[in-house]
Amino acid sequence: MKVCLLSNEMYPFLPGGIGRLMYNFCMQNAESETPVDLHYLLTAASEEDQTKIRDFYEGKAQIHFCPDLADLDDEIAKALSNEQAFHPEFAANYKEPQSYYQGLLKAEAESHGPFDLVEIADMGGWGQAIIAAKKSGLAFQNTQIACRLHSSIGIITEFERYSHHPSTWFSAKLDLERESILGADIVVGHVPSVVAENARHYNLSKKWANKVVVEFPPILLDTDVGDVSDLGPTPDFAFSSRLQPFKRPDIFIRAAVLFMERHPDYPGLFRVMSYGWDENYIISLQSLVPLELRSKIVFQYEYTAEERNEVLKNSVIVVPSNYESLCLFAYESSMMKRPVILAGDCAAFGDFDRWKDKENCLLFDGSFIGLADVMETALTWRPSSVVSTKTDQPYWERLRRKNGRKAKVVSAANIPVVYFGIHDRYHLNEKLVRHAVSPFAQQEAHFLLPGSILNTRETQKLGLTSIVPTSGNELSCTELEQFIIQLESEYVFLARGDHRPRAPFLEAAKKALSANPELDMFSSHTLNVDPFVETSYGVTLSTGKAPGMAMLESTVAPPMAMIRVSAIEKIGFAPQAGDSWFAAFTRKLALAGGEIIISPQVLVEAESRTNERSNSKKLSAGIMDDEGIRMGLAPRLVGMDVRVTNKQVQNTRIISYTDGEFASAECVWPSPNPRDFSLIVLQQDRGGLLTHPIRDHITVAKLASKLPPFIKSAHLHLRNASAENQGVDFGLILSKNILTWEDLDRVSKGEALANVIFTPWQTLLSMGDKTSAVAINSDFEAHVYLAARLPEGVDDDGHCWAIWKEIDFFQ
Amino acid sequence: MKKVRATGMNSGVKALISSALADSFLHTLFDSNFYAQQLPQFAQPSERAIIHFLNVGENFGLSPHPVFDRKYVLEQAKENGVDIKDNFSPFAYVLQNDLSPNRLFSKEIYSRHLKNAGVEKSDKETHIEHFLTNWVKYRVPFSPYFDVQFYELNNPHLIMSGTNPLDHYFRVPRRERADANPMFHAGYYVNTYSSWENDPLVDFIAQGCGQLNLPNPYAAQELLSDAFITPENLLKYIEIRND
Amino acid sequence: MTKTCDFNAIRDYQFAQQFDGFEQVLHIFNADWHGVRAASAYAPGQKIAISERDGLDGEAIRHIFGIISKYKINRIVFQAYSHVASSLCESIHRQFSGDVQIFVITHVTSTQFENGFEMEMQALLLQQISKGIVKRLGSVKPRFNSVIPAYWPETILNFSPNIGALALQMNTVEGTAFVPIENSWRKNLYTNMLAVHNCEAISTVFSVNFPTGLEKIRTMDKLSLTSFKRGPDLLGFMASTEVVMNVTLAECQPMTQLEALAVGTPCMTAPLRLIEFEDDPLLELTEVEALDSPHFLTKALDRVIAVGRQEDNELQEMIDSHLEKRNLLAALSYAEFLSL
Repeated sequence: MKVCLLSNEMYPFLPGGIGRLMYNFCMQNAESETPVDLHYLLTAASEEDQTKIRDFYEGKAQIHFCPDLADLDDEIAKALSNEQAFHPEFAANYKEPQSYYQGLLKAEAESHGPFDLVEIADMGGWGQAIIAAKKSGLAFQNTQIACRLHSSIGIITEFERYSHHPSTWFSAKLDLERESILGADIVVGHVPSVVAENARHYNLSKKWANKVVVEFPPILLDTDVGDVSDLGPTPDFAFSSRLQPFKRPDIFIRAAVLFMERHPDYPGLFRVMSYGWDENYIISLQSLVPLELRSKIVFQYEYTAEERNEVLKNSVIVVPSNYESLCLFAYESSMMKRPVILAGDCAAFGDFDRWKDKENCLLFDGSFIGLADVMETALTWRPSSVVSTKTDQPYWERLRRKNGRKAKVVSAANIPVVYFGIHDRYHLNEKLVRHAVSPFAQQEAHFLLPGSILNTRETQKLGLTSIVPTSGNELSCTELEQFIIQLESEYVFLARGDHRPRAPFLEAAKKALSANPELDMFSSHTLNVDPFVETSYGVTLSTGKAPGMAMLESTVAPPMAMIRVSAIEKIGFAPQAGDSWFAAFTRKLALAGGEIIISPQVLVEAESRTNERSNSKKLSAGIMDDEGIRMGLAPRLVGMDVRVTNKQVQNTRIISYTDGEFASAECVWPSPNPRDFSLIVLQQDRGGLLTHPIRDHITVAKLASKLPPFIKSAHLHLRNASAENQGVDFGLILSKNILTWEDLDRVSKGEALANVIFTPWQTLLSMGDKTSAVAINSDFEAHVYLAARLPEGVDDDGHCWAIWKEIDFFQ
Repeated sequence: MKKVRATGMNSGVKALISSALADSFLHTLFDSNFYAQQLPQFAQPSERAIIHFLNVGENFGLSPHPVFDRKYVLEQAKENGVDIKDNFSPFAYVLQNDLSPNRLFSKEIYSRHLKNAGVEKSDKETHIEHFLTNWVKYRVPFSPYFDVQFYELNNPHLIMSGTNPLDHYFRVPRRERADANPMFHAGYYVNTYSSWENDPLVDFIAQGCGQLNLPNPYAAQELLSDAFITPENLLKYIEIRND
Repeated sequence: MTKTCDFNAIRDYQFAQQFDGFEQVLHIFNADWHGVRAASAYAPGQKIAISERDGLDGEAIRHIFGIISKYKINRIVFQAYSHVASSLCESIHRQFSGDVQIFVITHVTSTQFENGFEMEMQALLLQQISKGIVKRLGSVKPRFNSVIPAYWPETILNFSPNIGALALQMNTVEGTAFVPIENSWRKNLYTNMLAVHNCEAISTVFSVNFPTGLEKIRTMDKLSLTSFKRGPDLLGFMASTEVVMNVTLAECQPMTQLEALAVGTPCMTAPLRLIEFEDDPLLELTEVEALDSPHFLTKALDRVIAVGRQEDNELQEMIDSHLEKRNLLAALSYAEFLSL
């Protein structure tokens, strides 16, 4: 049996309870009579650290490391590492799942074959992409995926009520965790009552419960306990868990204060020996301590492991957490024969029969008053036994090697393709040609667009291809829905006109369907392509069945997907959602628990418009309200004010105009030229294109290049190349149509024209350079004009040499 | 240092030597000069080299022939469930089971093409021995990855010299070897992924494709146009058509 | 950074004609010369695009050798020529000698000899023919052997893109014309533009390039500039218009015409003097003798549009018949040229 455990911690190098557990598993396996071939996959590390960790575990386990996403020749990895993946808040959480997915592929290759078992953690949802890859039929078909319940951020949040800011980022993280816990083949818990807490929290079904394994992990104490003397009647009390709300250090501090109020002469100390990430929270804890007790209730943030152990050896240890999945610290403390006080209202303690009140621990009721009472008891009570750390045999030793389910061969031959979102006949023809060379070329294909555009109400059918006229002057989603249903096919490929499948899409869809007969929708992440220059930039991530993201954002799947028709019948396309009907459908499908698989790779390309919004308040409010009504909530969620995110990639694309573009410049105004010298000349010795304004006229040069639409802004770099003028004004004109003489005349007189953007005049002082940032925000493909004029009040146009050195357009 | 018994022959090897096999068959897969080159001057064998190899050399991992890949043979033995103990002889294992001792030699392909060419092979002779002795006469395909015509393009003297190309390939120092596969650029592979410690083509087939290493700088763009880069697709990409 | 060496890129095979016998023919062409690349893309066989700008290095040449070996290429056709192509040609000849025959097809007319590069390449080719490196020279320009006698006397015919029956489903927007030509003297943009503007049947003219200055003497109210198009977008757009204008002053076998015809759109051209199509009804309709007079272009345009708008589908039948013959003759011309 070949087993790989994923972790971001590894004792003794990377700190944390999970890291200790990983170490313990390794030691246990080394001693086992039936050991497995044990591997670990850790987060990316430097060469030096990799060597240290590998050397430490030499002979006991093989250590693999995730690659740095920036080093991978993979579109998603590159987009994530360059901050060019949308939605930015989902993308920030998706880096780890992708990193682990790539890392697992690498680990498989390094170990010459797939793993029988891969174990992921619940927290952070790192295993999501691995699960998605398995479900897509892409990889890991013969590997069982297990998810161990450490402590998901989701469940901690419940026990840290009122401590978390809402955000899409947070929602995405919780979604990824949920997918990991629900999507795994096996779920591993340490304590039955904690497993029950997770089932309750995630509202999980009996079916999920059937895949749960409960086993007590190995707990090893490598600290040399030495002689543990009796504490005496006035021991110190110690809190040494992380300073975080669900660990309830506040209860410890309040109990300490109450205790001292009751026993003012008590000589022992109450030590908070820990660390935390939230400075404000730590300050709030410190402020709970009255001034006069500051020498009795002490905080210590920096200490060595030896110092900590020395303190713990001489203390009653208090673990007041209201939630733990196991809490190695409590067990280690008991094994050190220290008196331990635990929260009775924590499922890992109060509901777990290994902890016996007044025998191996003292339990308090979860309140600080209760804790103060128990602290008094602890003065004279000593444990009569050590908590049982009897380890269960690891589940992987009992696991049978499982061959991947023999996938039924799915014929995609009878899955029709329906194209929509075709806006005119030019577009239709282009789609017809693209279809002929697409992976769908052999599928039955239907192109839907209004009959008013086609100038006919008759369907044109040729072979497998039909062009279907729809009613009105715009395709209604209702008509599309009815058309799909009447095809009487189990599945349909739905493709919007501005999205196209990559060559492997069809095969990938077939694989996903073979691996998941209950599939409702299949698609992938999308590469954004600029249709004008055929270059790609950025990736739009699809969030699939993630319910939080479906509630907040329209990122479920691109409009290029394979969809089960019965899902369309059940959910329906909502015409009230207007252009967002597809987004509404996918979001509702995700919220209804539809089986949506998003392959963790790019199989779709989109002719992307960077100002496309991913969401709208009205859409999200409507979806949330529907969901609330469906769940029977009393408050109407339509009143919740949600954020809207623009689908703009973080890094803008820069289009630079330099000599190459300036070479084509010609003077279009004034016309005819009243002077005997050229008003527009490329002068490379002066650094660019000279535009020479003259008295009574603005000078306008037209460039041959056309600028793509959606330019946000520009930087204009100019030089006034003479000391003998009184300054030159300059401006940039972008026009949807070619400017006629009449247009130029009106523009020169300062008139505003429709579909013409004229940046405000700016002045270049004589003999100087200037870089000017101007806002543009164009939504059309533009002809570019460069304008120059004399400043107001200036009459002399001698030596007016405004040199355009460069223009940087930001898209 | 591993302790070596005075006579290191296992029962399989003893059976070989005492069998009806003629010496010449045994010697085909054993090249005494090649073997001797692996030994230091002071350790040159006094008895017949093959006996020295069987008694001593094999236990030290020395190779009987340039095409003999011990690692590959051990892998096959493991896959076949053989319990590899101290006295296991890869050499005997190959001869007893008529296995291929090299990733670039496919017994199945060679056998199929011999049949198609109407060439009879004695059952007593293993395919590798037949190949080493007779290939020059029949020149039939023997590998999904070693392209003889391509190799001979870069070593035109081979055709006239009557040398077995696979034998020639493994005798040439690695850095000087010409490419034997049209789609595999050894120089690129070594510069990008590995060292000259192992033969780059063998390294790619054994484990490089599993790590998604590319066989040439154009493989990614050629593969990605209609498929994914997987170990299977990478091997298919360098596979030679032998029909 | 790897040098350009695109083997069977999607754009180079997705519209290729299929004819048996070309599996071991390899076309090598410049990636940036769009017309030549299109001509190569529509031909059957294997394809490699190289770059004159970037050149080739050892890895690229090694890769090309590998492709030749793996696919058992026995005929290489250099489509158009360059210094990089020439070096590659010699390398291939040295490496493979008699096992691989090398041919060159040029896509140039004598009118282009004002560009010194073209003559330099012809001279280079003649040297390589005499050394036996290149087996045969061919041209897509009819009777090019009258320019250089060493050329094969027959014309190499270009293939049209293989769109299949899809063309029949294309929708035409009545009254539209497409002028996809650059603004250079040879390409005759102004005359084409004036001709379509004078044609009453045409209400919208799409052009990739603006006829600079023409707006000073004529109202260009029908003109709509469109972005540079390529591949499926170009074919789809051509299908949408009623006619494509490509009446140029000097031409071999314009790919623009073949692309337009493949999607069922007639294309106006200058006389191409293709012997094989002397009495072809389509070319009789679409070829214009008086290249420098918009008047005659407009008259020809009127005729073509009138035929196209007839109910009897006559124009489509002419196009289909022409293309069928064209592609068959193209295959035969290649087969003969390459001695297949």
